[in-house]
Amino acid sequence: MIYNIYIFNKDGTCIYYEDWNKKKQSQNQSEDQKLLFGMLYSLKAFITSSSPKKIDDKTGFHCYKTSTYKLHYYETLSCIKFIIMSDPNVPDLRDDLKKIYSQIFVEYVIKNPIYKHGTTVKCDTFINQLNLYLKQMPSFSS
Amino acid sequence: MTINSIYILNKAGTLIYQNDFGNTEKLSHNSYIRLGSTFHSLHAIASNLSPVSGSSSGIEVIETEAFKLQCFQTHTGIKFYVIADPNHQQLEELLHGVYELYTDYVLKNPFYEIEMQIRCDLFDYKLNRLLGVRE
Repeated sequence: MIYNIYIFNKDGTCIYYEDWNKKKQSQNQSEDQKLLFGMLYSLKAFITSSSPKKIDDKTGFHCYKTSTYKLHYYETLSCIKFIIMSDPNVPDLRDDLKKIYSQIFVEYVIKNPIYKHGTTVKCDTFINQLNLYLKQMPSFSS
Repeated sequence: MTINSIYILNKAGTLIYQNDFGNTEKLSHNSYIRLGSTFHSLHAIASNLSPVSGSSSGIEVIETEAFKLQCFQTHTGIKFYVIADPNHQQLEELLHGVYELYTDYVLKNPFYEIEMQIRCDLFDYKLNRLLGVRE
């Protein structure tokens, strides 16, 4: 099942966060978001150094897994980062993250003239479309 | 299926063993130590970020386009991690095999000091044989 989604812009600001199937109450959400961004920044640097072959800075990192969750990662060329946390048995969601970017985020956020870059997304249409898309996925609730 | 590197970290995150296999280019010794310490921190933060209540382990698998990293942490906090081809499948069994070699040829070595760098020829030899069999 899917636990939450984060969207970060290139400055590391979390511009969208939503959780479902809630299992744990966060003490301080904005601190968690900063910790996650910093951790992913370090993880990408670690991966670049560890790789036996040349690795792309944007498309190199796919996902990581722990005993309780799996983090799926997709970064666009404009450095917008889409992150989904799910349970460990969910297969790779990178294709879904690409669709979320190209079919939902670009259509309802980037093309929205009211939206200011770098601010939190509050667009109802985007939120509705995103929830619609995620909830129709087979791995959303099981 | 290629194994590129293996690292062993002690419970403080210090690199106590590292070996490269195949034709990977070598980094400086300090770079390996830094990579080990970085992984130790990332491992700990990943368990903090768990969206599920109850305790979570740290990173067990990292998948990228060029390699796959599999990590095994013992109950005493020693971390074994290996960097291999993205499609390699038996890394978990391999790490348990390395752990067995570690207990047999490092911990039972009376000259080995706990938490220090591993310099045991027999461990090196057995490890190379284990990886040779897997490849």
